[in-house]
Amino acid sequence: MQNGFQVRLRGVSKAYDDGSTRHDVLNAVDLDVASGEMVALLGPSGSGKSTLLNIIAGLDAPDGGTVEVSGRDLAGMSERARTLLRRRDIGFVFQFFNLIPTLTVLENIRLPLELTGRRDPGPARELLERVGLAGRERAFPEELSGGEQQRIAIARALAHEPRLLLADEPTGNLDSATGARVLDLLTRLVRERGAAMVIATHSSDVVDRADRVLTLHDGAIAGGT
Amino acid sequence: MIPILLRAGARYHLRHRWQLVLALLGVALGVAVVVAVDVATTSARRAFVMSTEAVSGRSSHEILGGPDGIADSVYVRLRRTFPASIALAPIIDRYVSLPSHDGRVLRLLGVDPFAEAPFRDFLGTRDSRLDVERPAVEAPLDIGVLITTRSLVFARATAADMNLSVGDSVQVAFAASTHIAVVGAIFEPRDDASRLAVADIVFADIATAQELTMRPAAAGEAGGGTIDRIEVRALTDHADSAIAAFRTALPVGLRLIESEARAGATARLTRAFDTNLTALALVALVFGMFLIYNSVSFSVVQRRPLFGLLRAQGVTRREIFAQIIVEAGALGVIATIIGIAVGSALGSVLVHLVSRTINDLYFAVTVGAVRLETITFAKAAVLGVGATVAAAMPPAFEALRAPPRAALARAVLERRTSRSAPRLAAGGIAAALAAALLLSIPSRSITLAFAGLFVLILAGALVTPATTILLMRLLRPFAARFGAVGRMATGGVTASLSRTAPAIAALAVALAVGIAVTLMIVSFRSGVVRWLDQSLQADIYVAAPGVGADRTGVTLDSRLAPTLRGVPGIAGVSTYREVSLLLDQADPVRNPEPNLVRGAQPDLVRMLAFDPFERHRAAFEVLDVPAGGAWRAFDNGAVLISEPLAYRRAIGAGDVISLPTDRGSALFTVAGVYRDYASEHGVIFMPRATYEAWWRDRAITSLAVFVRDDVSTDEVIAGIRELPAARGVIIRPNRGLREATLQVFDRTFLITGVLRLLALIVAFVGVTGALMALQLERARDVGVLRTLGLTPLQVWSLITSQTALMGLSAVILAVPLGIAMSWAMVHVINRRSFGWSFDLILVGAPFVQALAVGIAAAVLAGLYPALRMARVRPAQVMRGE
Repeated sequence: MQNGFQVRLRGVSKAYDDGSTRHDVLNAVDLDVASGEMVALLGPSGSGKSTLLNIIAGLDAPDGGTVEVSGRDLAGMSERARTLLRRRDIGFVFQFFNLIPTLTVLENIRLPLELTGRRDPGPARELLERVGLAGRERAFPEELSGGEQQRIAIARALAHEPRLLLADEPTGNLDSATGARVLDLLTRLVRERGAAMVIATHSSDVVDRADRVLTLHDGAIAGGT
Repeated sequence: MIPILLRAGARYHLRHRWQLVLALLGVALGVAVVVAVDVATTSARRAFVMSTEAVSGRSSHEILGGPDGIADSVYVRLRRTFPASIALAPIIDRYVSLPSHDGRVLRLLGVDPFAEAPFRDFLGTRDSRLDVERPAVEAPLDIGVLITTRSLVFARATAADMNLSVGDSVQVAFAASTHIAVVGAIFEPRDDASRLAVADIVFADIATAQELTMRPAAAGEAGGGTIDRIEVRALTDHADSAIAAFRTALPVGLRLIESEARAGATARLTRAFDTNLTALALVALVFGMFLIYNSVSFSVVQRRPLFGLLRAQGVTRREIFAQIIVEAGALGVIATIIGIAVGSALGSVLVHLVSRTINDLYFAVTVGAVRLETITFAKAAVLGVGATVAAAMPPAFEALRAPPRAALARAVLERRTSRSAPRLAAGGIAAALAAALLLSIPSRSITLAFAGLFVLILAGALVTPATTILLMRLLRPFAARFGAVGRMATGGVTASLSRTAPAIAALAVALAVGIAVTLMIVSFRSGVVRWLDQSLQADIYVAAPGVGADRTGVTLDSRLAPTLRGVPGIAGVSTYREVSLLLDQADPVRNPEPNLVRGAQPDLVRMLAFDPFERHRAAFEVLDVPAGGAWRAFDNGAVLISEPLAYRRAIGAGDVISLPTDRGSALFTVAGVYRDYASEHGVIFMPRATYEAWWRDRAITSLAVFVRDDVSTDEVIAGIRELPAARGVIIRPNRGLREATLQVFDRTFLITGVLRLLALIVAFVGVTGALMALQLERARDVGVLRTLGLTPLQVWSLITSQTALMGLSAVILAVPLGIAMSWAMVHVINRRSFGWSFDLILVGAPFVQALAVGIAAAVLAGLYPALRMARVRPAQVMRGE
């Protein structure tokens, strides 16, 4: 559906310095993700999965290496250009849902649409229906269960039809049955739209559904299938 | 702007209602105080200006005579000399009181109905702006009514207010005499402006006014009475040249002034008073700004993860910045609307205090209506919304710096604040130096002085974080004696420095203002008491009753002084003749056109022709003494001038000043400068003999009586009351006058006290809000502590001891800041505003008061969150987070 979109990382490294010690989080990571491809990132806590997602989204800058999204080097883009890239092309799903507590369910889904200038609530309503929460438009996030909140977060991440979806342990905060249902929904919707997806996870369910599985260990990609 | 984000922002504020209410309250109160002061001062000034304009009519110039006025015959002569090109109208303009109507004070305007047409439309001409009607006759007012003996004309509102109808009798008191007059007519002004302008004016024919105000014939003039001034209007197309020609033909002793000059000089009398009130009101607004800063920065800090999330969703920095500013602007608008409403109500209360002080100290004014001027609205809007948006700028920039990630540890922000403390302290020291520089610039600008004071306040605020860190370090060993809770209390204050420092700074500034104002008033009062002790040397003071501060038109019976000198038991009598002189601001020493006072900045000063009893000379503390002594010079015809006049005009002993006399402009040597707190605009003491040599006036305004040591003062007073020449005069023993003076002093500072209290309330609300925000923000920490086993009582003591420590920090900061501010108020602001000097006296009471208020405010502010946190169930808080 969406052709020509590609994420390309070469020699990406990142370290954090807490004043006394330097921690290498990513170490010369190379990664390519193509349109419609689903890549699962495995690795223990602190292995650099979230940092890698943040760097791909332009939320964090690498210390070394290059990141190209859709052929454009993020390092050469201004802060504003990176923000607009995210607004247009990237969707995010977080472990802790991160819905906006002061917006209703429908408004949360509409947010990325409004950011891109689309005021029509139709697509948001349709997505709400797709994630099985039709009728809860006016509810606030705090009135929903964890699974429901994550379904709304998925709807929000996909509302503006991004070409890349980044998911950071989207089932990490859900029980296994709910997690499985959420994952089903996520993969189905992403695949329908032909978007690329990078998903950081511990879940074996994700591994089963992914096109490619990469394992991060000590900041480097240790293995892949 | 993204509407959905605005909606989210609005809901955030509605969900944090208490925080919203406190923020609104802080700014609203700040705006309210500014509006109230503005309403009060402008209403008083407006009442004065409007009635002056109504009185001045269309005159372009006025002719002023000497203190005893202008003889009728001079007016008649002038009228004959300039029949065609110059219109003239005689005026008597005095304040009278009506004993039959609760002593109500009205401005009596005596006019010549036949000369009125070119000047005012009030009285019965066809093109009347004001419809004049009589209940019996529906026609315009008959001039015959006006010229009927002792007939007065009232505006309908004034008459209704006093329950007067045509034909009613009223008592009219002026100086020591009271006459009966009749309500001849009542008229209805056509519009609101006219209604307001004439609200406290009563009209009478010039002859009636002369009789009521006891205007005798001027000295050296046969027959007729005197008038206060003559209004002038050129009726030709070449007004300037006609006026110039007219001026050259004026007899010696008469001065032609621009009409605006006299009104302006009177209105300007209250300028320093108004400026000082406004500055105090601005202090309240500054606290409001602290509050909004606290509140907005809290809302930003609380939403940092949210902003991070929005940034991850593709919301730009500019959009987040705009959202915060728009939110603050909306808060500012709502708070300003509330502030204007509260301020108008408060203003109508304050206006009584302000007008009473103006009456006590400056000129007689009755404020008939309190109205909000457009400019007040504009000021309130600019200050309220502007201050709110300005206060929201730092947190909005802080939000910009938030990296676009969902979570940034709060610790990072706190670390950043702690790290910036030394830098802020350095900035504070620089600000303190800048303040010292601003305050020491040898200028007379009050604005510059207040700028210095505000920079000083800024310095206090900037050093707060570093001082707090230092103080908590010093207190930690002591607090540790109370175990973990004690250690956590000191640690908690520095751990949340981004929240605690602004709250401490706001409280410290509020307390410092309290200390400074109290020290200033205490020092000033003690100066006044010392001055009264020295200057009130006589045992008895005798004066004709005046209206408020206007005493120049009231005189005593000329027989009284000689009679008193002959009374057994009286050792001696000093006489005073008090007159007002209009001095051209431009150059009092060498005035090129002494008989023309232009519109620009003339000064009204009081001059007293003084014939002192020998013992009376000790009453003067002469500050600037020429070689040979001030009194020797005085006895040789030189004048003593008061400290404020010397300061404002930069003149000292030995200098020469030019004064307008009945014999034209004359030069007088300054014998010395003496300490005086009676008038900020200046007093000149002239030897009676010199006065009589230059002025025709022989009247006496008041007397100071010295009683022999072996005689009782009360007996002498009783004796004086028996004298026919003393009928109706005010006789006060030394103590009575001293008490009356101190009463006026205390009344003057009543309004300062009210404003200080309001400022403290605003600060208190601000601090309460900040502390509540801080403590409620820590709900999760408290939940953790409760999970770890802290009892509700321990939680309560932890929070209250933290807030008490913050209160203590504020007090410790407030002490040096308060002293520095009081120094600036005493030596710079008072000096420049009023021209007088007094020593700064450090007394303990304001400091003890600050300690009590500071800690009580902080503990009270922490009470609610402490109770709420102590009651909270840990699991609930943790889940809620």
